[in-house]
Amino acid sequence: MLAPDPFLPLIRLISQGNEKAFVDLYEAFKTRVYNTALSYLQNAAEAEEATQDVFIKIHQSATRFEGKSSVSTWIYRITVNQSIDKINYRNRQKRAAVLINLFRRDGSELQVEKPHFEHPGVLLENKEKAKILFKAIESLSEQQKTAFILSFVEELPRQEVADIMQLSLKAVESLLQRAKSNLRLRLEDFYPGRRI
Amino acid sequence: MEKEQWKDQVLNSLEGAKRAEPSASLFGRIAARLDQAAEVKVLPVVRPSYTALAAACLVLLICANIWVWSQNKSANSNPEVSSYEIDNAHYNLY
Repeated sequence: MLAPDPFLPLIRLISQGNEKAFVDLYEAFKTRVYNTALSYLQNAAEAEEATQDVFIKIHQSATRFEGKSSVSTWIYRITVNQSIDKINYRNRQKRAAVLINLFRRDGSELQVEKPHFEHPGVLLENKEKAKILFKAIESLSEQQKTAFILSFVEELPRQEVADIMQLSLKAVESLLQRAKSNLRLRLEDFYPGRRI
Repeated sequence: MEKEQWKDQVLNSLEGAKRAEPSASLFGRIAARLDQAAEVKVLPVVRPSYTALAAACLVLLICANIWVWSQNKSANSNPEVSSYEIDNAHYNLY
């Protein structure tokens, strides 16, 4: 027998319009949501925007939550989807900026590339290496990125990652294997003293 | 060998990292957006009058088009008579 989901009563209360329950849920999940979004978006302002979108979505969809998955899994799934939507939107903006820059006559250019991301919580001695890791993570496919972020950055158990991604445990393991080997390949480009 | 070791270090560079915290004002911004969304939900009570007006205009336009089309159709419904009249008119010239 599985233990009852401790957050399910909060969702039920939110669906009845209880604002205190919403505040409690926000307090319980804000850090998880924000950090997941931050790992995807690698930008604090965008991660805050995504966090806002996630909690608004939770508030609006609480009545439709059927409890087929745990509340935590549901919230992570919303976070992953919102983050991916934001990345896709950003990529569209980037493509538009490239086009606009082609036709600009005044010599000024719209910013296309974003600077390397520095995670605020990383230990000082690891900062440079973590910067490289985040750059390399960007090159992964959407699914490999999700599996990697949830497993190694968020440190979620593999089964929860599988539930969030709606995949089998085996599929997640395989995604992680491929993600790691692709990251190793990508890291070749960043190795100090590499011949160009 | 050294390179592989370096890669391992990079891959493990997030170990021991602390979680980042969102700004304290974030919940206030979420609450403000929820209030805004609630206000927007009330708006449709006012909006249908414009929608109804637009729909009425569209129906009127379609009716006018059908009426004009039916008028043209009935005017051309007996072509023999009209061509006969034209022929007569031609004969009257002489």
